[in-house]
Amino acid sequence: MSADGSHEPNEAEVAARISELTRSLIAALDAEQQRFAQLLHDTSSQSLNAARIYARIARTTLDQTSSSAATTLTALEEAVENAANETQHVLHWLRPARLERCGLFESLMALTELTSRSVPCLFHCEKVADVDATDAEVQQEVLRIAQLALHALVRSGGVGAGSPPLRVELDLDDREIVLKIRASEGRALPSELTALLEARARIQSGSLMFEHSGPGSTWICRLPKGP
Amino acid sequence: MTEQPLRILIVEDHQDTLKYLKLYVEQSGHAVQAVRTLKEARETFATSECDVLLSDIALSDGTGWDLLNELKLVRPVYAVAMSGFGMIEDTNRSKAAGFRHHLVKPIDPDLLDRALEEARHEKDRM
Repeated sequence: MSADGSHEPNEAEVAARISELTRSLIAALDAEQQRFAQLLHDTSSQSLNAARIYARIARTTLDQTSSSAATTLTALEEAVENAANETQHVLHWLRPARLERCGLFESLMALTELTSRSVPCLFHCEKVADVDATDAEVQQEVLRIAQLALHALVRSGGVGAGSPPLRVELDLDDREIVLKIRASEGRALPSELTALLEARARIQSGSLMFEHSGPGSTWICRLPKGP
Repeated sequence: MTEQPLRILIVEDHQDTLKYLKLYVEQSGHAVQAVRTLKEARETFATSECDVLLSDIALSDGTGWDLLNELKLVRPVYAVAMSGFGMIEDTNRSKAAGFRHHLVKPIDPDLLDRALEEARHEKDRM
């Protein structure tokens, strides 16, 4: 009790409030990202695809009449196709990864395949059935953490197409599900992203650690399997 | 083997998308009827001899899945679904309804070309 008679929150209450605010902030970030992805999908992505198809129509129509116009339109079609593909790529990364009915294993497989379009990425998991039996919220969080980390490593971690592959490993024991992401280049994730990932893991009563492993780096996320 | 043009029924409620799809498919040498609702599709299919149904899944008055389930009772048709959703459950549902392909929007014209080419080969074999 403070001097003016108002209730002073204790340490546990403060921690709970911080956790609640962090959860709300993360949910707001995800929602904003999803909103932006939807906007991009509904506008630029559709328009670029329409432009691509119109360019192809014009190019095919002109092929037999004016070779220089057809050449220009071929270049236009390729440029628009590249822009459309890049927009799709951005959309895939922006849209928070959703677990599909097939579960975490298949969703992580799809995520690593998407990553492999930019840099080599390998995925390893042995206990598929056990992984998919864990709590749905935990599965969703593992997927989201993997998505954010891989995206950052592709975009800003210095890992390029000629680099050794990224490695995503999923394992679980009696209590925890463990996600490991290894990058051989020894680059770190941006500090603000690391803080976000740590916060996401803590909300699930888990942890995120970083360790140097030889010339490379490993991020290890541990989350309780759930009830 | 002759390469007869296909008669294609396009069902798409988004006007701009319908416009460029119709133009693209016609420019590819096919005959196109374009409608925007499930009701119009039902009526058009009954009086046409279309070879291919190219249908959006999310229509204003029903789904492409419902549409194909009705139309295939009239006669078989080579069907291609279009959807903004590409989740496994959506593609599985399209396959279960009888769609031969499930194309995710924005439609890749190369994938559409391949589906129509496959439809043409099947028609030529009949």
